[in-house]
Amino acid sequence: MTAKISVATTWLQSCSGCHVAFLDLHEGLLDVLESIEIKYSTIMDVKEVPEVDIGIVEGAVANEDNEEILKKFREKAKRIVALGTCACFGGIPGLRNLFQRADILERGYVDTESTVDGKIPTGAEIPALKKHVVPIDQVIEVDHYIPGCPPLPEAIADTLMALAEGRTPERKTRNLCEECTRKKDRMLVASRDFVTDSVLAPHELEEIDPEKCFLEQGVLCMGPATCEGCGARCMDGNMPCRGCMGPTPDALEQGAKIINALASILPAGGMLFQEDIVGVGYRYSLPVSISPHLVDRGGE
Amino acid sequence: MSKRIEINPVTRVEGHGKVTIHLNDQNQVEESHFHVVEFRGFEKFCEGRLMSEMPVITTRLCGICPVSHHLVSAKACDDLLGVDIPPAAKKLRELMHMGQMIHSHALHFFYLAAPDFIFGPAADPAGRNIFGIVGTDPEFARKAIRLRKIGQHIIERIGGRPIHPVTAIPGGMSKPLAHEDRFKISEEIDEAIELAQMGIQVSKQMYEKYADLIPRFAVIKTNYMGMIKEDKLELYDGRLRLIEESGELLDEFEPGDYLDYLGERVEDWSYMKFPFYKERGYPEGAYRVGPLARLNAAAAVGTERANRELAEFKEMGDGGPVHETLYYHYARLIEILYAAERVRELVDDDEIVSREVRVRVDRQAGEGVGVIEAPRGTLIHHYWADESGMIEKVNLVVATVQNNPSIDRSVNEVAREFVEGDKIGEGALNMVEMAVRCYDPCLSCATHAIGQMPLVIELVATDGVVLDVVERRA
Repeated sequence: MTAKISVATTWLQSCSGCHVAFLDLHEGLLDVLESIEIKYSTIMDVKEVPEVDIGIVEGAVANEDNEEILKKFREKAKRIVALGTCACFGGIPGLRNLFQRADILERGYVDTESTVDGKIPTGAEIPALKKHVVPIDQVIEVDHYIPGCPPLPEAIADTLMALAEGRTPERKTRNLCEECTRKKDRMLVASRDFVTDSVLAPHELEEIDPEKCFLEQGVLCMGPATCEGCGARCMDGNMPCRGCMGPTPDALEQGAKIINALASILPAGGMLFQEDIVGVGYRYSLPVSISPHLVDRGGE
Repeated sequence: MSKRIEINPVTRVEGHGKVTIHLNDQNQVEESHFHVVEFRGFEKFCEGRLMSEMPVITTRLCGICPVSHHLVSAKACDDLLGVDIPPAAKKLRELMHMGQMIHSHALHFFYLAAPDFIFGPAADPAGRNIFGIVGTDPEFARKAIRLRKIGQHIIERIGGRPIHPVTAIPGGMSKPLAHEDRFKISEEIDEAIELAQMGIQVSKQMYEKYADLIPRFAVIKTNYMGMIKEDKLELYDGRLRLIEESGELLDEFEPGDYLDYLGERVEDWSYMKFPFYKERGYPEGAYRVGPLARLNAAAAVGTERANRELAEFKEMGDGGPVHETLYYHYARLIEILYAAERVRELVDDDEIVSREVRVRVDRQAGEGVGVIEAPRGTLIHHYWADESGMIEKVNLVVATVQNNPSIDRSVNEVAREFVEGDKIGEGALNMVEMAVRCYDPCLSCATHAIGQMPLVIELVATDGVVLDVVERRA
């Protein structure tokens, strides 16, 4: 038997869901632990990051502490794995890039209705926010990516096992429509009219058809602009894709790709005027898109 | 000269937090604080989003209790749209919620908290964790894994996925429960009931072993808040009850009126706010939430086995509330049993597979409040939307935040009791962290406003000189 590879894990700005996904291997976790040894993790009490073969990082970089921890990980780990969409693309915390720091803090600590005599905390004990939330590869070099919000437990295990066996982990490249088994009647017709002229929320449909393509039902679905690899479970839950796997590796940006895809599905502009295109199209990848810089109004 | 100790990060809790302990010239603990060092900004960046998307955006507040945010968000949307969802949809949502209670509480007790008691508070930190348990008692580890897995499976079968589920929508649920899924849940749940009872037995042995510690460990008398329905413990939908430290009723109100009763203060040294009951002011009006608070606020539990356990639990309070902070774990395990028994009731109800799980609703302007008992305590989402369904404003009061004043106080009590001198040993350090762990704080949730929370303990002298820093950070 070969020696186990050593692993350290941490979370930055995130929800810890990727770590829970790892634990969701359930009994399979015991098998993975035959091949890896976890030397450092937020669910352990080791205080100093040791030298390890693999450093697994969940979460985006949002404040000075995140940046410091991340650099320490790069220093100590031979290879860095970006775990989950926040680490890979910025994820939902990246939506704060649409606003200025001062306005965000003002809402959180002064304006909120339940706050009494509010003020913005500025104590020396708490780290300053960075102007923008960024994925980890904008701060350090990253070796492997496991996108997903959160990734499938099996995807995490596959990557770890590949690394333990000295293989290069595979990365998915097709879009989610390839993985989704919903019936597409008109979407696949080469020369056709628009598929729908409406943009509805699922709660506005008379019936949410459990088998038909959401775009053909007039519901925005991010499938055409999103990378496969999630098992299309939201569709099994009878809900459309919201893009949490992020863009395919070859796509420049996810939001632009969905607008492009919709151009052949909806009458011009239908989408843009009726939906929150930033909050849907760029929900998980705003920090790696060109747009946030366009809406950046400067200042703090 | 005074001194400062820092524990950073506090580990085996969700998110990023730190503790600072200040010592006076005689090396006695003067004051200690729990700091949350993370901020994310959900209350701002949800502005401009579509209301109908909120149940799948706010799940990302927390990867451990996404179901709470998912469901409370759908409830806030229902309220905003003025829609009464079908009975089967309510039952499905509650069933998903019970799955989460099993998963989240089992995760906290077995994976995060139990190592302190199994190996001892001062055991070698290298092995004092879930992987240590896997090594020393694999059978026990397998049972813990199994219990949490049953909970996650329930969530997945109803919510589409175990983490960040998607099926609760304004007006109900996006899909009914398949007969096959009902059968599978039914098949697994008796095992969860057994495992929950096993957990309670384990905790009782644990408390026997640490009987000397309990009365010395952060016994703080506070007010308590929890949801009830007809005097009984309720986790999905009911009224909110506040009791005072004597056990006397302080107030009871409809969740939608929370702004009349609850307020939040800000302290300069934490990104986490400090909630209180308005009529009493701060800090007198601070209250605790979560398992201990809920069992103190409720007179009974609606399922048979859990109700028997509750009766035994309440004996410890001698007619009043149970104030011992370490009993949060005990209360958590009783709630797992309740949740598992409640799953049995819900899957046995034929309405659970009804096809009537939603009513169609149009978008409209309005204001809506949703309240639920998340694993860690009362959770409130409050939205304002315009006529096109865009969110104008969001206010969130999350469970862990409400425990913030008490976590801070507990840390202070434990530090005073166990920390001495200008060097702190591993045992004392871990005791301070154990005080935090009792509350199972979810610092990602708590910092919806802000960012993140490593736990640091600093030993600081009164002049601000840092004497010793015990830091746990990545």
